[in-house]
Amino acid sequence: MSSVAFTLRDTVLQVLPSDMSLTRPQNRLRNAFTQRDAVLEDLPDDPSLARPQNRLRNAESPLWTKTVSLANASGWLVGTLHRLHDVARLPDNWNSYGAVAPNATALANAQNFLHELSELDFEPSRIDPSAENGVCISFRAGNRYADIECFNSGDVLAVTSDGSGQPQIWEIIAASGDDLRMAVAQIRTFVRS
Amino acid sequence: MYWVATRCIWRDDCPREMLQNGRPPDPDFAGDELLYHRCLKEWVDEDQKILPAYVHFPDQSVNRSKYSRPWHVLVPDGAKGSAEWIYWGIARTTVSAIPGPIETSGGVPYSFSVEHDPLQRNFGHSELSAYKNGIRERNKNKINELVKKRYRQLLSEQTRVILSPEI
Repeated sequence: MSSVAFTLRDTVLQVLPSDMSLTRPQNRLRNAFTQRDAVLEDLPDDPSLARPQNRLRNAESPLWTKTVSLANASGWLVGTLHRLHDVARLPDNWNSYGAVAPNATALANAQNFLHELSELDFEPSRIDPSAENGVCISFRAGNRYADIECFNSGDVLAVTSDGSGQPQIWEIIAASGDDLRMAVAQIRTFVRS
Repeated sequence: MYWVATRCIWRDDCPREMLQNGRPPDPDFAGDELLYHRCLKEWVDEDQKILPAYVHFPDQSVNRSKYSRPWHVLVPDGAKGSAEWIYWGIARTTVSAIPGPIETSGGVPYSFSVEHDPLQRNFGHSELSAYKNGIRERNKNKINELVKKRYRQLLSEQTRVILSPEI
């Protein structure tokens, strides 16, 4: 199994300003993973790849907390994570109405949800920045719409709506794996019903 | 659009009808009055609605149709980046489409409206406002998250793009 992984660190690095005083190991990590992104899909299933990458993964960094293994991931996940990276690079006031760019908390929660969605092979329709500061993962099938909105504050809210003016809205405890899985299951049932 | 480009970007001008010229705010809105705001291509879903993620709340700036042409929302205001607004699209909703009152599970009442908020160079400027316990609340951190989410979802469903964005 390939040990190549997308991590929270990837996302967080994108929001760091370029002039931030990164230490040399962190710069090496940035370079290594930039190159890795380019060849990600062509990597052979070679156990010998594991050792250097595991050393990278185990590097002491507070940003290195979550891993989404691509070995078992759905095919759409790579593109979705790239989209998340694009969203992470937005400047403040990206909407001209004063929205703040997504922060590391919102990006981390969004990545957790993408991981869960990947395990169910339940592809979201879109990844968008939120005008209320955060990241929005949304789903649409006909007139059925659902989303999970991860805010910079750490709050996570979900909604399902069939467009009839009676949306169902609930809060998700982001730190709870069970809550996260239940929300994803509920949305999947709604969108596919 | 050519007029906007030549007059507003290159000469820092705006249409005369946009100028306040001492006119006072007009608090009266008809239910069918249109409210316009600008949007980017990315904000629009396949049904030509603005996605809920892109609905700002509270105090979303809009231009009211009683005193504005739709494209007035694309006229640059001199702020950084506003010269690109001529490539943005225009979305509209109506006053009657503003969501009705919502009460939290704890019994706190919220209501929503639109208030005319004229600017010196944009008389039609208005704001979609929120009221908590009957008092206008501008601090989004003091508004219940579930209320905020419901409002944005409902407003999204009532918004339509009338000029497709180019960017």
